[in-house]
Amino acid sequence: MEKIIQRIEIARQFSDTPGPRSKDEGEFSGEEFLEKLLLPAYEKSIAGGGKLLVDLDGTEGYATSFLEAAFGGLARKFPPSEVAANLVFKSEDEPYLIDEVQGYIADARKAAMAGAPR
Amino acid sequence: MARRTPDAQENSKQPTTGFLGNLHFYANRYNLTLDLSGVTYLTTDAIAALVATLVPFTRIPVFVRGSLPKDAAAQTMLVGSGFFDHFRSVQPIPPKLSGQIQQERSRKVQPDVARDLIHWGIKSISGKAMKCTPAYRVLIECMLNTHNHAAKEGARRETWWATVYADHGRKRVCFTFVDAGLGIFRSIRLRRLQMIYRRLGFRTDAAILRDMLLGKVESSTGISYRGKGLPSIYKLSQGGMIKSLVIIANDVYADVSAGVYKTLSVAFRGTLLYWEIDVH
Repeated sequence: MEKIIQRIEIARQFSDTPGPRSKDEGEFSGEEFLEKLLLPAYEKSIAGGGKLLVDLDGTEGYATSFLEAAFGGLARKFPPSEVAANLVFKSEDEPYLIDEVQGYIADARKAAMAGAPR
Repeated sequence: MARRTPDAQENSKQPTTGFLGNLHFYANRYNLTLDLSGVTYLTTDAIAALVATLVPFTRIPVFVRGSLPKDAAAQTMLVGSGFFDHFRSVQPIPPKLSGQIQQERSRKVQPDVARDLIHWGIKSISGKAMKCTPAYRVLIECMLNTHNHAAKEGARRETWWATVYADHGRKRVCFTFVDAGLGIFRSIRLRRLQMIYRRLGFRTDAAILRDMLLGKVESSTGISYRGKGLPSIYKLSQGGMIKSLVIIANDVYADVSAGVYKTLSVAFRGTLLYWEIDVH
């Protein structure tokens, strides 16, 4: 049984119109989401020995860049296997997003091994 | 706008890109008066491309004026598109019929604009504003491409134009996104071998676009985890979540949904994406 001790609802706590990759590209970026919400909540969940549930539902949709910057970005700060093991996703609006995000986390591992910029 | 067959669509794009290229040449040098009186068939993607091509030349001392098509349907389409919000007319403009075409432009990635365009298009047909996550993704990816890749290095960001047309007859919302920037093929980064093949003429830009959509061409940033926008748009098209996807960039015309990839005899200045969504 997964012990979820932190929870983020992107639409309610961040924005229902998620934007681009980085802050210099526009509002509500993946980078901003990572810094303001995802990273602090992830660190709390790790410190508490539980998992972080990320609720992707309720937004207008997501660009790939937003998701990659947020979740790939997290996996470039922490070991990707640890990130994959400690995040739980809810996505009833777009169920395929879960595989997509997990792919970004896995790709971050490959990029790190290939020496790509963090 | 009735859906045309891929062949008819592709054939019609060849002279359109040539016409736009000529316009760009002359607008760079002279004041223009566009005689549109003989136009009998007009689509929102063509209007969007026309606006994106000519708006940079509307400042003094160069300006563009346009006349109205005599054909009633073409006239309604042109007036309703907001074309004359950007250009002076040489004759009185009839009042715009509201509720069919919406247009926005910007140099930034604007999620709120993407949302509003989608809600407007769906509400025009169904009476209720609703989200459409695939259309939202395509709009944001397009804005990002223009923001990051359309301008020459060091130059000001390019302007993008997004037009939404509510096709009540087919219950479809039709989106056109266009910029008059570098175009995909002047901003991509190819592996050395692909570059040699391309220079020698063994690899066309049409074939390269197909590879880009399949995720086989790395991002122009050179960073492995970037460059996922076009492949994700392709997946949405393949999955039927967006319909009638057409991409025109530089010398390539691709009716992606129909699997038709062609080299244009006259290149298009910039990048244009067209797609539709069903409204149930």
